[in-house]
Amino acid sequence: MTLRRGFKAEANSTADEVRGELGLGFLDPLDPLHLAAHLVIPVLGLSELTGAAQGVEYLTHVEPSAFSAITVFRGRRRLIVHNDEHALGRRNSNVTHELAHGLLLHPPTPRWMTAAAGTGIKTSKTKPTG
Amino acid sequence: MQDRNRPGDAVKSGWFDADGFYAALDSVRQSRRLNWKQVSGGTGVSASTLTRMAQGKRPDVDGLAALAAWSGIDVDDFVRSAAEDRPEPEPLAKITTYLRSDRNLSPQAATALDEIIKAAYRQLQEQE
Repeated sequence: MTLRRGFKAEANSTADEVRGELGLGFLDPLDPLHLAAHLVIPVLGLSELTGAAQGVEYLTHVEPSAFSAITVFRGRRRLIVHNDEHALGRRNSNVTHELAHGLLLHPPTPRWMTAAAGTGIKTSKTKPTG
Repeated sequence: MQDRNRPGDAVKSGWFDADGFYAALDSVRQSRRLNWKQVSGGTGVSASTLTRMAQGKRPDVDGLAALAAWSGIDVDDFVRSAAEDRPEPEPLAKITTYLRSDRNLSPQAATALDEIIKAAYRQLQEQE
């Protein structure tokens, strides 16, 4: 993947800035939930999600590799759901990835457009909920 | 999360439409073809503060002043009277995905994911 020119320098300066706010040096371990609280972004593990028992069961025990993490939006507000069945290192990577989207304020993508972006969702035809 | 008047609070005579201000700021940003990192650099308002604003937290007055000065937005335009209602967010669940899977989702996994997204959206609704 080719990164936009200047992106690495910007990413480093953002990391430095946010780590400073959290009182962390460049090489200190970063707890994603600490960062999430700092950004006021709620994070839910699948096991904490209510009202989706079948889906949780499937992605937790039948095909856990199919789902890592997702950011769901209502207006501009975001919430992260992640697969807490994954190993700790993987969970940290998954959640931190989504938090980086939040820190860069990447806009939401309707799901049928995500398919076009090549994330692998090609079978779904989600209608807007609400 | 929201700082608006809640039942039992003293009723205030007006309120600041932070969501409206944020939307106006976003419009200025887009019209200048900038990303949020550049807004942060141009205003001195940290990236994390801008993210918290998007989450519904209000900026402090210095941050608000910096954003208003940079964008040319008149803060007064977003002072609402007590009678004015907060606009509802669009009733549409939107997502960004991070699916580290090297194959297409199975139909079962896609169905499961639908259920997860809807449940998460309801959770966001309840938090408001």
